Amino acid sequence: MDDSDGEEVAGQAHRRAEWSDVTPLPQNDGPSPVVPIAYKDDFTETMDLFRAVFHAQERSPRALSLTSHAISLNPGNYTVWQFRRVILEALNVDLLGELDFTQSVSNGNSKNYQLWHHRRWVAEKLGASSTSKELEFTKKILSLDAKHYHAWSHRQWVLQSLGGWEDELNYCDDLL
Amino acid sequence: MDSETDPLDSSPSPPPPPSPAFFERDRHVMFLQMMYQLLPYQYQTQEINRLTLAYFVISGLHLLQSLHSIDKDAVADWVLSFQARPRVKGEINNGQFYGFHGSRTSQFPPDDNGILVHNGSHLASTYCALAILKIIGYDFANIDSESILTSMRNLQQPDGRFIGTFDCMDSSVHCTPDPCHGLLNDLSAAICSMLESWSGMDREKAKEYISNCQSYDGGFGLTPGSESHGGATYCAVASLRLMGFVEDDLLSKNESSSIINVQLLLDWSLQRQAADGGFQGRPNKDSDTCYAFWIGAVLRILGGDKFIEDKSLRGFLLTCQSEFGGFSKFPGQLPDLYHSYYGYTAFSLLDEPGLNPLCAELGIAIATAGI
Repeated sequence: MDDSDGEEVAGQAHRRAEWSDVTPLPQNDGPSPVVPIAYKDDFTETMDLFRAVFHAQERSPRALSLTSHAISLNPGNYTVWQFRRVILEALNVDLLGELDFTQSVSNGNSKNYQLWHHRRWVAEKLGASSTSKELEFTKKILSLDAKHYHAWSHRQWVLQSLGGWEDELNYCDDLL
Repeated sequence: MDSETDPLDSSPSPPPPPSPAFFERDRHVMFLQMMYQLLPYQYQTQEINRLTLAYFVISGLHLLQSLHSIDKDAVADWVLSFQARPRVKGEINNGQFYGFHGSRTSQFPPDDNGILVHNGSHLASTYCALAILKIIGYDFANIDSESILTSMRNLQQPDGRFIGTFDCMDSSVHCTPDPCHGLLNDLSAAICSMLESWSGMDREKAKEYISNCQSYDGGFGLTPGSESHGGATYCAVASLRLMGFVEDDLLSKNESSSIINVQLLLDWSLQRQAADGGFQGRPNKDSDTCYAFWIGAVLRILGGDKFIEDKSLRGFLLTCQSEFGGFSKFPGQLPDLYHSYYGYTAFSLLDEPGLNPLCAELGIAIATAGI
């Protein structure tokens, strides 16, 4: 067992302990499911827990942490992302930290609509104070992948919604 | 000169194994049948779109004329179990969208009063659900089309674009999880087309939004002002065709369009066929299997597919054909369902024997399912 397997097992054990008061809600696939997926245990456990937490609408720090883990397993799951936003608002969390969270998700795979939509939501909430961070973030991604569609869309949105045009021509000159 | 780093001194990599010279239909059928039975755990990350995965498998088998192997009644029951239903008829005007969920992950049971408090149904999964039902020959008279069509209008924005879903319990939390409006406009047009009613959308507004998405180079972006992209271009052209704003086979009839710049579009699309024979999604990107469909279908709709270099396209696609069945994104990689499906549609456009002919604007086979 290598380090990451050990971490995974430890994480699973921690989650089971943390959520021992909640009855997980299993997935009801019906009698003849089509294209069943060979889910791994961690995935099944996490999503069964998420279903229960979502159904109960628990908006707590541990629920927030659960959405982080669910997103790591399934970054395209818009239901989880949406519930995360509900929790962030309910707990009035400092959204600067949320920029770091989206950064870490993007390190895994940055070509994900839900991720960019979430980033846009955070930036919109933070307003003009996030402008330079967003321009820096997209600049970094574009330096690794000059044709990153989501990054360009986000950058265009930032400029149009939050401003920051002053250096844009210079940036284009640098790229050209 | 340091020979360890000098590329001229490094020994050449071994040549890739020779690609099969033909489309291996039987292997593809087996691949799809295996996927139908069980998807490997790696598909966990696409769990939210399980209905789309089912669509790739079932429509794929249909294209390969091998639908006999599936249990159509079981499929119909499973697909219909994803439909979001209002408790009473009057509720369809409550602002929600009553379509189909993409998986159990976004689907929650109604509360104790039978109210669907959380409704995560989505335009994309609605398209997949209806396409699957059409393919297996399900009687659409048994589908609650009215709820779908009436509530769909809630997803269309004032500027004509569609959002995919509401998926929120707190109406003060504005949510639009999908910025890919170009795709969503196409899905809504396809849904109306399959349900044979345009009451689900304002076609004029949608047309206006789409025409604003054509870029200076002739291709279409996902939103106005964004870069031309193969997938977005398909969605734009297919929606306009479905909504009746673009004539079939414009180029052969030597006609033009008042809505789109056809000549520039044709140029842009043909330039996407690269030196290796494959199609790229944008300039300076590698050729990718799926664009043989996204761009190939645009050219088919316009009547410009005669300008495609078929032989070299086939050659490229066959380097993406897997020995396990299915197609990969790039040559020599492992296959995945998405690229496999679009590989099959591309071969159908190339008139490969043993494949059903394709309806380019819907992306599924014509006629056999009564379309």
